[in-house]
Amino acid sequence: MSRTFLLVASLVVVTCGACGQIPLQQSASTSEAPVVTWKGLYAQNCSGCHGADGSIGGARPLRDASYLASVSRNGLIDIVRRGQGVLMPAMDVSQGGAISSEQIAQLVDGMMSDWGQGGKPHVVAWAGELGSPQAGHAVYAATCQSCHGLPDGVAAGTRGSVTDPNYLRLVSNQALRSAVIFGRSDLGGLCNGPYPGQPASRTLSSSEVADVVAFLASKRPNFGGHTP
Amino acid sequence: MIRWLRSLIGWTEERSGAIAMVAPIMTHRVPRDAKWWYVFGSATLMFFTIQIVSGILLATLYAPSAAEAYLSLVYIDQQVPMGWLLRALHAWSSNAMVLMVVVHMSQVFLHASFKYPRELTWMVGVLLLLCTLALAFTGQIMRWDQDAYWGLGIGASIVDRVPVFGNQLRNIMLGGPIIGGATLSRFFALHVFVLPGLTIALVGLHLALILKGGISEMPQVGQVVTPETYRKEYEARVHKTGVPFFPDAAQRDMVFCGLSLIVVMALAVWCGPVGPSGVPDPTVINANPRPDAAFLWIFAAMALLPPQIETFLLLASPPLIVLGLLAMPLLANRGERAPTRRPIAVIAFTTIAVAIAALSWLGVTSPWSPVMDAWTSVPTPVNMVKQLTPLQMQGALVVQYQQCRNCHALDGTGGMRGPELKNVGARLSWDQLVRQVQQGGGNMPAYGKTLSSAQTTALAAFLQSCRTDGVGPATIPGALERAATPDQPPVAVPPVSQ
Ligand code: HEC
Ligand code: HEC
Ligand code: HEC
Repeated sequence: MSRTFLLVASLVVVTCGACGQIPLQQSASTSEAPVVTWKGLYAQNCSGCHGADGSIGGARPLRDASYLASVSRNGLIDIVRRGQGVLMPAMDVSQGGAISSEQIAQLVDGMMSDWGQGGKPHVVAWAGELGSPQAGHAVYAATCQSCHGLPDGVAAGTRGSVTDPNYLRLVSNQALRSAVIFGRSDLGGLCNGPYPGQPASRTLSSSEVADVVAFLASKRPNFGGHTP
Repeated sequence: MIRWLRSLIGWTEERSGAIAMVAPIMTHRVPRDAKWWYVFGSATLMFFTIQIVSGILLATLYAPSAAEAYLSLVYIDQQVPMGWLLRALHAWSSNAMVLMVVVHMSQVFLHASFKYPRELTWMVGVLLLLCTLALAFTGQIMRWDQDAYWGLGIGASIVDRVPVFGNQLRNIMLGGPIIGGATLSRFFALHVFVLPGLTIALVGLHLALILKGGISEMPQVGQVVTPETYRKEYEARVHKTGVPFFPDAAQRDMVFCGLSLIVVMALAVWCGPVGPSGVPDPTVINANPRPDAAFLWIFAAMALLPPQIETFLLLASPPLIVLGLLAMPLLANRGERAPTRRPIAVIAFTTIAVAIAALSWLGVTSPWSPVMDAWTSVPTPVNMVKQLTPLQMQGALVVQYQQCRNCHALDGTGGMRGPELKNVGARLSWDQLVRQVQQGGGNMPAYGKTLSSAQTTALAAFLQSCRTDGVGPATIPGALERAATPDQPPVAVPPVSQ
C-alpha cells in the first residue's frame, strides 16, 4: 500500500511542479479564434448597430467617404474605445468591451482607407462647440422643419421628430452634429441639403451647424442632472 | 529526539486524552466488504477541505466590494504568482465537490444505506447537499461579473413571484430593490461565513452519526433490515468479520482522494480559472444566462416549462423535493436493501438521473440558448431600419445595446430563446410591451431598473412599429391606451425607396 502512496504523492508533486511552469496569463479568454481582418472585426463588433455593410443600421453609417475623410483618426479610435453617448458601447477590453486597442486601431485604419476612399473633408469641422439656440431655431425652421416637423409637435414632418425629448435624451450632441453635417445618405436623409423649398445650393455654414445643434440640445430635458 | 517527542506526546495525552478519544474512531470496525463503493463521501470531505484552504487564501486577496471585486479577480489572475491556479483550483474543486456529493448520495440511495438506523445521517446529508449547492451558487456570484448579474437577476425574479411577500423577499436577498453593493456584501457573508460554518457543523454531525450507526454493509439479497433486531445483528457481524477503519478502509479512501485530486489539479491547470466574464455594468444585463454546470439543468427545465404552471412549479417544487428527500428514510426505513429487490427505487433513480443529464445537455446545446454576441454582430434588418422614425431608430438601438437580440430574433436573425419580435407590435399593445420589458417574466430578465424612461419609450415605439405591413398596432379594446407623444405623431412613415 505504501508504494501506491508514494506513487500518488509523486504524481501530485509532478503536477504541482508543472503548474509552476505555466505562464501566469492563463486566464485571458482565448476561446474564440482571433478575427484577423478589419472587416471581420467590423462584422463581429459593429454591424449589429451600424449596418451589415456599414450602412442602413440603427446608428449612423460608417461607410461614408465624406464622413471618414473629415473625422480625425484619433478621435474615432477614442470614440470606439470608450463609447459615446448613451447607446454606443465602449469596445476596448479595458473598458469592458471585447476587442483590444490594437484591434480598434486596425479596424479604424481599415475603415478609413477602404470605405474612406475618394472622400473629401467636409468644409464644416466634424467636431465643434455648440452655438446659439435662438439662431439655431431659425435655421431649423428654414431647413429641417419640412422633414422633421416643427418642434413641440406643432406640425408633423415627413420623417419623424428629432426634437422629441425622449429621442434627444438618447443621442449625444456629437451624433446630432454628425447627422447635420453628413446627413443619413443611406436612408435618403438629406439633413445636409439640398433642403426642400430652398435653393439647391443652400448648405449650412459652420456657425449654422453649431447653432442648429445647440437648438436641438436645448430641447433635451435634463431633469436637473438626474436621469429618470 | 524521538524520546523527547514521545514524552511530549505522553505529556499532552495525559492531560487531554486526545489519542484515547481519536483511537477508537480510527480503529472502529467497519464491514470487510465495504469496498470501493464507499470512497465518495471521503472524497467530498477532501474537496470541502480544499475549498476551505483555497477559499481562505482567496479571501486574503479578494476585495468584496462591488467597485473592486472584478478588478481584484483580474489582479489575482494576472499579478499574484500562481493566483490564477488558486482561482482555478477553487472553481474546479467546487465542481468536483458537487459531483462527489451527488455520486455519494446516489450510492447511498441505491444501496438503501439510509434505512434504520441511519435515517438521521441521510437527513443531515440532504442538508449538506443543500449547503454545497448554496456554496456553489453564492460562489458563482463572488465572481461579480456579468454572469453573476444575470444569475442574480433571474434568482430575484423567481423570488419576486412569491405571492404577497415577493418584494420583501427580493429586498432581503439583494439588500435593496436592485442588485448593488449591498448584494455582494450579503452574498460574501453567506459564502465565506454562514454557509461554510453551517457546513462544517453539519459535517461534524454527519461524521458523528456515521460513527454511531456504523458503516453500512454491502446490501445482500435476503438480508432484511428490521429495526428491532438490526443493531444487534450488525454489531455481531462486524465484530466477527469487520476490519479496523484505519488502515484497511482508509487506504482506499486515500487512493481515491489522491487520484481525484490529481484529476482536479489537471483540470485546473488545463482549463484555468472560470470567469470573470466581463466587467459588470448595472446598465447592461448580459443575456448569457448559462449558469455553472451544477445549475444548468434547472435553467433548462425553467426554459421548457409551460408558462402557465411555471410560477407554481418554480416556487413549489424546491420545497417539495427537499421535503421528499428528508422524509424518504422515515417512510422506508426497513426491508430489503439490495437494488435488485427495490425495482421502483432503481427505476425512479434512473429516471431522475437521465432527466437531469438530458436537461443539462439541453442546457448546453439547445437553440434557445442565447447567441452571445448577436447584439454587436447581427444587424437590425435593413427593411425594418428603413421604416423607422428617429425615436424608433433609437429603440432599435436599445434592442441591440441591451442585448435583447441575444435572445430575440428580428426577421429570422438573432437568438431564438425568446419569441421572434418582427410582429410583436401586432401582438402586444404599448402597455403590454412596456410591462414585458420592465417586469420580464417567462425567463426574460426584468429590465425595469436598467432602462431609463427614454430608453423604455424608444423601445416601445420601436417594438410597436414591428408589424407586418397593413396590420395596425395591437390595442386592448376599451382600455386607455398610451397615446403617442405630442411630439411624435403616429404617422406612418413611408419607406425610403432605394
Ligand atoms: C450597440 C450598438 C452599437 C454598436 C455595437 C456599435 N455602435 Fe457605434 N454608435 C452607436 C450609437 C447609438 C452611436 C451614436 C451615439 C451617440 O453619440 O449618441 C454610435 C456612434 C459611433 C461613432 C461616432 C459617430 C459620430 O460621429 O457621432 C463611431 C465612430 C462609431 N459609433 C463606431 C463604431 C464602431 C467602429 C463599432 C464597432 C467596433 C461600433 N461603433 C459599434 C451604436 C453602436
Ligand atoms: C429631406 C428630408 C430631410 C431634411 C430636410 C432633414 N432631414 Fe434629418 N433626416 C432625414 C431622414 C430621411 C433621416 C433618417 C431616417 C430616420 O432617422 O428616421 C434623418 C435623420 C435625422 C437625424 C437622426 C439621425 C440618427 O441617426 O439619429 C437627425 C438628428 C436629423 N435628421 C437632423 C436634421 C436636421 C438638424 C436637419 C436640418 C438641418 C435635417 N435633419 C434635415 C431627412 C431629412
Ligand atoms: C435571456 C433572454 C432574453 C432577453 C435578454 C430578452 N428577452 Fe424578451 N423574452 C424572452 C423570453 C423567453 C420571452 C417569452 C416570455 C414568455 O413566454 O412569457 C420573452 C418575451 C418578450 C416579449 C413578448 C413577446 C411576445 O410575443 O409575447 C417582448 C416584447 C420582449 N421579450 C422584449 C424584449 C426586449 C425589448 C428585450 C431587451 C430589453 C428582451 N426582450 C430581452 C427572453 C429574453
